[in-house]
Amino acid sequence: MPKPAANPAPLFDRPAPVSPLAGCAQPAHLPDALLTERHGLTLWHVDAGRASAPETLAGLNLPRTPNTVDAPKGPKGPAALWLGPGRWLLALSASGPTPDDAPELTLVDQTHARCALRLVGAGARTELAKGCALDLSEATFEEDQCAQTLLHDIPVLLHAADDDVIDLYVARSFARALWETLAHLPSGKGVRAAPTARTG
Amino acid sequence: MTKAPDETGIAPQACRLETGGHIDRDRTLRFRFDGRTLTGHPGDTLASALLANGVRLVARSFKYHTPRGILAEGAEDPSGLVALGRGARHEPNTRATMTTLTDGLEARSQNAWPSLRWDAAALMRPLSAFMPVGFYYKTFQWPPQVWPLAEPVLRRMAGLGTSPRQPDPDTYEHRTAHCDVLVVGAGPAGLMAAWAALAAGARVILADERASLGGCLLKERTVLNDAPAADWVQTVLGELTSDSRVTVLPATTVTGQHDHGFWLAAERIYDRPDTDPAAAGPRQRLWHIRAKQTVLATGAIERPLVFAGNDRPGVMLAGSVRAYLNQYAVAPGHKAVVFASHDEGYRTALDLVAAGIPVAAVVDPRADVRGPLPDRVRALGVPVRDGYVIGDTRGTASGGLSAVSVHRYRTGGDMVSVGEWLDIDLLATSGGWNPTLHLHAHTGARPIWDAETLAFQPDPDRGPAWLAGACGGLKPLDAVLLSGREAGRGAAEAAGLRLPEGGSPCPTVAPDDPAQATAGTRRAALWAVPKPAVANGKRFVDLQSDVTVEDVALAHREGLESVEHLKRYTALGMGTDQGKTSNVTGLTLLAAARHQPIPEVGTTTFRAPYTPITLGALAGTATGEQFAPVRRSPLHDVQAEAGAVFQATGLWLRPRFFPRDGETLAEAVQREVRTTRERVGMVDVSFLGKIDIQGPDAAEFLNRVYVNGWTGLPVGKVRYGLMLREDGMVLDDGTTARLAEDHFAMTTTTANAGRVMEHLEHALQVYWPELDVRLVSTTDAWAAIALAGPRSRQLLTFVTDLDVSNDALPFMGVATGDVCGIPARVFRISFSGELAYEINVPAGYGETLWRRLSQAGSALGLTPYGSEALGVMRIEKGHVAGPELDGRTTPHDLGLGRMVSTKKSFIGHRLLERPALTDPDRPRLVGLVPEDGRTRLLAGSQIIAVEHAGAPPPIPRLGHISSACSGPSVGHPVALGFLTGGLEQWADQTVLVTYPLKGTQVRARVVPPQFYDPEGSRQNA
Repeated sequence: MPKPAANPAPLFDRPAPVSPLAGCAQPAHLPDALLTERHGLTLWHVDAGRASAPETLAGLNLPRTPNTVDAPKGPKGPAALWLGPGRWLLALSASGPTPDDAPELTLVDQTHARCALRLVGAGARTELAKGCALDLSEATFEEDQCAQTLLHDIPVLLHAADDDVIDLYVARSFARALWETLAHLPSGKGVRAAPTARTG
Repeated sequence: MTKAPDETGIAPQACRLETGGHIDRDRTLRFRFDGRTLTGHPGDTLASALLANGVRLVARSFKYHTPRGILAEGAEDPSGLVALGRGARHEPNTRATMTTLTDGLEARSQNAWPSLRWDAAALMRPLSAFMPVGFYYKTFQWPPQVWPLAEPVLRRMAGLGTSPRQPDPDTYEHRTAHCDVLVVGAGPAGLMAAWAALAAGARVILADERASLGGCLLKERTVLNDAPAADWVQTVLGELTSDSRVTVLPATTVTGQHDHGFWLAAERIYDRPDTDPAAAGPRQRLWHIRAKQTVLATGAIERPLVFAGNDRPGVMLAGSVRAYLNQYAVAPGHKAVVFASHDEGYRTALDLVAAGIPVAAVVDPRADVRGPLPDRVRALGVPVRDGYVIGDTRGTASGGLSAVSVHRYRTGGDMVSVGEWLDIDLLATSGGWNPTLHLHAHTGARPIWDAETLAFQPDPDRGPAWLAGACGGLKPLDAVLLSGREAGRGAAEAAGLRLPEGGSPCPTVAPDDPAQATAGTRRAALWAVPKPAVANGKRFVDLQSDVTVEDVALAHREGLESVEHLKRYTALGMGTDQGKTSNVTGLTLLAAARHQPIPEVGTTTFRAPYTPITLGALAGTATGEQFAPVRRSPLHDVQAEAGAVFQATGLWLRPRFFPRDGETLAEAVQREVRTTRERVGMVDVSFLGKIDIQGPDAAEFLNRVYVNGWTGLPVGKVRYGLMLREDGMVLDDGTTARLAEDHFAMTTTTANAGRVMEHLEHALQVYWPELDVRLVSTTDAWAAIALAGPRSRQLLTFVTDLDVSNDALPFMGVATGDVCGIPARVFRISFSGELAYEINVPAGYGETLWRRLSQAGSALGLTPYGSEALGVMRIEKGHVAGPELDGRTTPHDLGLGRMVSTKKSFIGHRLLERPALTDPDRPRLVGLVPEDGRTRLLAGSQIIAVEHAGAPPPIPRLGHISSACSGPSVGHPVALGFLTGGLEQWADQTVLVTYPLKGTQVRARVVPPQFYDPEGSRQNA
């Protein structure tokens, strides 16, 4: 049996993570909107179970109102998004504070599980209306509201970071499919209804 | 009106009126019809442009191939069906009346060969007496051999258009829209409703199927506020379009009402006047509209009168004639007769005279007709023949109508007397109006018959429905406008908005406007004019499906008394127009045949869509690769580099095999299995569902969802678990590791990941809220690679500082540490039966892990393998998977009964104890090998007893094969299957494995379902 020369395990460096959108041209130009991937974020799933959660975590208020977000520094800063009773998603800057491990809280690192996209522009909400059943107009999906919904049949978490800025969090495995759909990348235009054989 | 060709050689528009119309005469559009180049103007439809060029013959009919022209002006037109475009853009059965004329439009007639003028199939007409309704069924059913021969010929002759054979090159999209008030129809009532709703602050969507908005205000010579009505239309549209709360959608057909305020609408973007078809963009858009309230202002559809020869080109609806005169400035004929059973006919006569077209007579079945409109017509010197009907027509295929015969009318007669022929080329006919109640009725409203207006009216019992204008009952124009305003305000208020005091004032209608004069006047119930003794033509009820008065009577005589049966038998009301001009007449004739009142007969069911929607719009962007979303593993790209052939598995794209140097699937799988069994292989298992389970009650929670015990599992250990549905059947299986006292990492099968997550959440939230457990899916958080094979430990040692010896990390152990420089969880578990490790790293590092393992493993002969090899190895090992966990098997059926704990309860426990689920005669998992050692057993095969070989069906079935493979590691094909009574009854006996679809029968021996290393010495090494 052949044998490796020596144990090189200590020689491996810590690699940089690879985005699921590696290879996609960025940004994508949509009608009246730009689609980009956000980098440099850490994402934490916070679950307090049935215990009472702390008011704040990592410098953010944990919102109690369903489908709302605490993002005190606006689209450029961190955000705490309501997911369910006692559950939040924290989107933090990788260089900023990390959540303290409180005994009552369960923290699960989801940085690699979700891909964070940002849609910016006057046409952002129209683009979403092409594949989402919710009313995402400015009147009903206001700044710092969030929604867990389907976009082109893909589960997403949407956050109205601003009137013209919508953040999308999508499961990593779906990220490329969502990107291609939103960016209208060519993939079989129209309906293939042509018969392949003679029909009566 | 004959004009000479211009210098381009294109004939001028011979029938275009010199003045008037809402068309842009400054611009000329060229189009082609059956190869002839013709011209029109922006604002024209294809139908109006054809008529402007004197083209009257546009189609041949469905069954008899008789010449057909344009009957109507809108969506109701049954006969003016043409094919548009070429090649991949060929679109059959398009209504010329609904097609916006664009430059370069290419249209062709259908259903005619070799040409529209000389159609060979029309020679069949003399045989029509032998082709009664249902004649296919009657004629070609016996002897039975005839039908297969006759069917293709009949289908070819009776077909309506042909479908394109290339993929559709255009794009389509969907759009969701939410509003307070949806207004359907932008005629006078709809415009007022939208305006009034906006005045109350509502978010409004105004949709109209026509490209030009205004409805009847464009079609009639109406004066509002002392100015042409079109001016008022523009004013209101200006108010609406300038407000961001309003979405105005021309060329958009609201095709269906669905439950809870959900409406579908198809927008034909290329048909909008402001759209440049050359510019990139979707051709059509399907709107998903959620409306708090909806105002229907869909108007009414005119009913033609039925008389012999009523299908000739040149016979048109009276209201449509006015639309062609007034909106399109087209003279549909040179000399006209008007034949109507109510006062609207006189309105058409007035417009014809005003356009300079002589009217030979107004023929009216009512005797002694007096009133403002008849009097005005008489004053113009137009002969009024009241108490008369049209009984027959004459004409030619190419020229259409040339004469009509006028007969004295007596109600109740079977036949009309000899008539007097009038030479004319245009007959404007009207039998009354049907309110357009399709959308109203889509969700179950039942329109009711009103004997006074001779029409179905809205269902009064249907909740807060806002029906404005003619669709809510015929009324004078000022009442139409007011009803629109009231509906708009009512809808806005019902949507929760506060109404303003004033705003959106109704315009003033001139008192002498004919639109004020006709409502409420006497109407004759003339459903079919009796035939003269000798007639030139048939009396068509449904012009699209070629159904005649005699067909309805015959169907009734043959016992088809229900209106729904009548429809299916005769095709009355079928086709692309769904009987918009024929249904009411058809059912009144049926009622007469049944000697019953019309309400007893009822209507056929109104179903969406109102008009046809192209398949492209329904599909939207979900076509081709984007038909459904695709999930990709974090290792997708690196495996593609390595030559993986992918296979869609659910939503996932999974590598199936990694062919080298032109290997076939079988060869590659053979090599991948052999290399893994002898050396080391690696496979992507990132697809497996992963659930992070934490909390003080986590172990107790697992105890309640799995059949086996969990509280005793030490930290650092993994256990195989089986969970059941409430009914005792296996839901899913997988391994779960205990990372800490209160922290578990669960894996599920790929297919059931979502379902298991829901199952667990449901159990926690509903059954056991007292348990403190937190769940989150981490399927996407980890990239997972299984290293399998006798050299896997050696390879792993090479890339990690972790102690992975059998002592430190035994079978079913878990450790955490760096692998290839990446933080990892290493699970000592095996699906292949070999010594194996499953390495999980954060998903973003998966690609690097794969590359580094590939590099480090090359010296050890490492091969990547795909799902095929994985499947082969698990079958050889006898592990159950999806084909065995098919929702019909219990733990006992799977040979896993010993896992079922008797010391605790768990989901499915109680129902698993049902006698039928513990019956020893249930089909149970066994292994099977072919007696000849060579013949493959096929998954899906049936298992029968040997003595039933060659027996005629029905043959008692003993079981079936669930999974099978060639067994490369054991030297002969193997299979897993379920056999009644299991091993206890069948061990070492021979059964027959049959695959009736391929006609194969293989003798196979029943063996225990572990073919490879049954002692487990390899995985425990």
